[in-house]
Amino acid sequence: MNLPTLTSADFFPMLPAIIMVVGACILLLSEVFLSAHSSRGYQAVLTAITAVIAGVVALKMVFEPAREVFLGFGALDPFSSFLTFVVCVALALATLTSAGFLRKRGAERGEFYALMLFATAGMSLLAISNELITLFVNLEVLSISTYALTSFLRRGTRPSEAGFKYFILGAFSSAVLLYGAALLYGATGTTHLTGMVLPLANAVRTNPALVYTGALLVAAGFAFKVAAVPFHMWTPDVYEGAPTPVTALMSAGVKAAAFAALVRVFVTVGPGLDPQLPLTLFSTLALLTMVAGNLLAIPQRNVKRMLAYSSIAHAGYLLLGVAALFATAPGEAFSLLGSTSLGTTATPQAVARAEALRGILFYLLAYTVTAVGAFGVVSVLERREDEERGTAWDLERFSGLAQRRPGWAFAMAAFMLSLAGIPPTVGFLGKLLIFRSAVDAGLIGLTIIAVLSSAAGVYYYLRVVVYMYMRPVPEGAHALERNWMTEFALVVSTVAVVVLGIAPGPVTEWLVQAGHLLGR
Amino acid sequence: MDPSLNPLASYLPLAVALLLAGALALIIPSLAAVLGPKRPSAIKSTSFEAGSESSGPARQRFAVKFYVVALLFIVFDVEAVFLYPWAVNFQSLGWFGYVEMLVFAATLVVGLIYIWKKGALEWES
Amino acid sequence: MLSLLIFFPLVGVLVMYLLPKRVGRTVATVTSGVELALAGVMALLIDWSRGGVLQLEERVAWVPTLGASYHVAVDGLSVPLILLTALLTFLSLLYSGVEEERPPTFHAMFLVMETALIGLFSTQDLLLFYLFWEASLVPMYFIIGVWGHADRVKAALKFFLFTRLGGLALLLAILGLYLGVEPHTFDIPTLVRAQPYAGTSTAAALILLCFLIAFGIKLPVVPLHTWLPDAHTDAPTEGSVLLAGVLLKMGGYGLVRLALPTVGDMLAEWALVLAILAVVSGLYGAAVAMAQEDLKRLVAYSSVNHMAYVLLAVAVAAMLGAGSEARQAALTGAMYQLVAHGLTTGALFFLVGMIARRAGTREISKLSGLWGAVPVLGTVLAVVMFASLGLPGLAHFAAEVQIVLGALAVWWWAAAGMLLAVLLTTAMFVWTLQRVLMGRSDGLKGLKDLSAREGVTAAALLVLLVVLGIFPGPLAKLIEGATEQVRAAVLTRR
Repeated sequence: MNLPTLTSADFFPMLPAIIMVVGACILLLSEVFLSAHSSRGYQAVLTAITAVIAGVVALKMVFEPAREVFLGFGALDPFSSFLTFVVCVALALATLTSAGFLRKRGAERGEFYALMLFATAGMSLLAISNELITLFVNLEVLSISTYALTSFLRRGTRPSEAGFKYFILGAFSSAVLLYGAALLYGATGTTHLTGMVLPLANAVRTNPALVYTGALLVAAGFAFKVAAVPFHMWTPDVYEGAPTPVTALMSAGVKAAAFAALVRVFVTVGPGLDPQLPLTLFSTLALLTMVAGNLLAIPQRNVKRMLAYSSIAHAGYLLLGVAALFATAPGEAFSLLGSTSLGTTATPQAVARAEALRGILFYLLAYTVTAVGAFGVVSVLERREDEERGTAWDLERFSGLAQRRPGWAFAMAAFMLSLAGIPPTVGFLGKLLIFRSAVDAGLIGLTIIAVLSSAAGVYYYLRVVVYMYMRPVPEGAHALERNWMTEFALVVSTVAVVVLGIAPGPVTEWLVQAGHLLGR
Repeated sequence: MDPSLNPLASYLPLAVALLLAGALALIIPSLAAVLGPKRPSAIKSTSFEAGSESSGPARQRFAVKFYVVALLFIVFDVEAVFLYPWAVNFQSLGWFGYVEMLVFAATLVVGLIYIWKKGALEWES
Repeated sequence: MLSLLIFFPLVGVLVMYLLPKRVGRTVATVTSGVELALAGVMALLIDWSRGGVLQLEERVAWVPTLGASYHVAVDGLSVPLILLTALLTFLSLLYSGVEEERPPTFHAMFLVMETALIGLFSTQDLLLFYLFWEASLVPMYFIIGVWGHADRVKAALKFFLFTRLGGLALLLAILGLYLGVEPHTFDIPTLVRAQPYAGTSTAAALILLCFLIAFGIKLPVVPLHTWLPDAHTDAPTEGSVLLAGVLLKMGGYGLVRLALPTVGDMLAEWALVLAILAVVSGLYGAAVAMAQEDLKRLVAYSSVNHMAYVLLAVAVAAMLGAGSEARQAALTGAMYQLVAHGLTTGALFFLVGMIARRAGTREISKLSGLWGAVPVLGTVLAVVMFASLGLPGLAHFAAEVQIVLGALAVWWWAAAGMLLAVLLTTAMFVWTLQRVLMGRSDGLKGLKDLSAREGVTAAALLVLLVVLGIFPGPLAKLIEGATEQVRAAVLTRR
């Protein structure tokens, strides 16, 4: 019998996920031996440490030569490794804000952290999936964990509504994605992305309807996960109803992982399709998402909902980056697994694509540190009692925060400026990189729309700053409890937002590494 | 159709079998309904419960415990399915396969300990 | 040296927060004083006869993958504005506390802004330029929004949204320039040498349009000026001084530093439209100022008038047909106008603040007989207003004459329009002086005249206005060196 051989090198790209799963198992096992009153402070710390270790490993992997692993089921490349790093950062920061949040509600449990770890492991595996079934399974690992997390705080109607909505619509979108994948399989006879390119080129000629329906359904499935308009309807309700640290993980981590899979699928099978298809598709999605996200955010007085709509808007900017990736020399084949070094022979198109990819990656990191930080501030301000009335996240909560907690207000101001893309914050550099790629790729009109919509975005981000700094402290405002872990996360996020905004040096180095691989 | 052109072509026999089975399943009961003699009576239309007198309404609510047990059964049963092919190929898989299966089993044990301690296996609580 | 100059105020901010609150203002004032001294040292270190050469250059790799470097250097365009920034920040901080006590954060905002502004005027890298451009926006937003007058939140938001829109346009223009050269770079001297957008093209037109939106909002040019009266009126005195005295200069500086040398041909193509806009702005600013009841709003609108000269000068400088002497004279005039306006308008806002504090109102109809009540303050106000209307012997005269003469060589009607604007401004200021200074001073009896702090603030600006008016030579020579360079950049393209 001729068995394929797997070596430890095949398992290496899974290492971050393995570390996180082991961490989750430890948490689950230790949880059941605790009584209801035992101290559970170690759980958040353990989770954060696990995330940090996994993140460091992922960073190490960025410098590994790109290759297919697991018989082509997975791909180890700097792109997926950097995204794994990003989701680990999201997890670490979200975890640190969870401890205080859960304790206030008497809901601190090992299962919560275990689910967070499982979800993140799913994200990191999704980033390396190079085959449709593997991809789908990992997408489900991450989705099911987040469904459970969404309704983790069972009491009240909001969590149930959010969990239910997310589950139904999520399952629906998974089915759509799976159906699309099945059609692609039907058209090509393989589920391996790399192996699909040649048969796909044949199938496009013989049976275009099958191929395009498949590709569009797959794109729609991903569009749901990244909350792109018009597949965004669930986002505000789910983001509002989910526990705030979970919302943070969803808005940063799930988005990053879904973008990873989306880029990988369309970059890999793209050459087999009509060259204009990905470009048209993502340009349209980007246009709708940027404009709708920003416009819908403007009337929100509920900060958590505002951040949800802002998350949609940011998905729009990312889609602009994806469109730029496909706009440079459309139809020319390229691979995430290309040679590891651009060298001196790189064509201008290859350089441009590498830059577009770097832009997407940097933007995801920038959005992660900023959004998780912002949700962190939201989580320390809210109280359970106000949730049912829906006033827990009202702008009024931020009134006079600068006088009560100057540190929190400063951090929130930094996050808002970063989300609005104002230098010297990391959000600005992210936008700069994306816009640069888009202009370079000739998407001038789309970039101008992006610029205008982000100018509109300034209004609702600044409103939070106005309330914090220019409104008096309201009468009878409730006391603000401090929590060292949350504050530590806020400090880390703020420092990252400012320092990466001024000196992105090391990160751009990693990105150079991650971008090189596009050089075929 | 040449199977090399369309990979779905090799599934054609399966489709035929499915169609035939479906058709038979539809035809035979409807034939019975059409041809069979009908002498309805009150006792015949009561629900059949293992020959004894039926008691209570048919739509009873089950305790959630049943679902939990059913769920656990499926989980561990499906895991067992993985063990069969492994056992068949045990020789050729060698130590690598052995360690893999140990890891797999260890994961199951973690799950088992978890549900055990959580009390999912206790019937009365 | 330059890095020290740029970042020293931030050191002051750090010290401020380490020391107790009550010494905050002192620390901030001392910091900005030292900063002024540093700026003076910088001015002594450079060679004033070679204004066209980049001096005190520093260059460190910053984001090498983007082709951005930390590249700072000064030339004849930057030095005057850096000195102006340092001076006005120092005076603002010295003056702060006269009207009401301010918390340390207020002073920290000024120091942060000083860093951003001096950085902006000395950077030779586009990305850094943009960074400092936006960084100057945030502190000013807080200064207006938190410590401003009645309608502060709305005014601050309006200011922020307008400037942010301009900033995004600037970003697009910068990206356009950046992508125009191979290998991509943000380095300004390299870009000017490479001239990627010589001649007229759609790309050049788009870039110029973006530049004009960005700098036009800052300057401001009609019809992009609507944020200005609100922001100026509702900002605290110290904020208005810096806003009008330095932040508006960013627009003029940007036009001369970036737009002219890179998309000059396109600018020449559009020069006529710009000249018309400039004349409209000039007339509009003067006419609307005359109709104002609020003294502060009046000063704000007079800025629209003064900045119109700068736009006209840029349009003249871009014109092909113009004699190159006239063109350069106009440019030099524009830069000189920036400095002169910084001093006069700074002084005017200080004086309005002092008057408002004493009289409790800024409404012109309620003020009268100021001269009788507070003779020193009244005299200073008269002198500064005369400087602002362009009296010979005071700073504005030299600048405006050069610009109008330059314009005469190209479009006689533009020069005529500007002369009409001068006439209107003169009438407006004289009428204002008549209403405010003359008349009965019943309501203002018993008011105290200038305090020592106010006196120093006013005197420093007054002396400079007179000195720059009588001896324009050295500064003009320094600026000329740089404008020569800009002209050369425009010429070599042909």
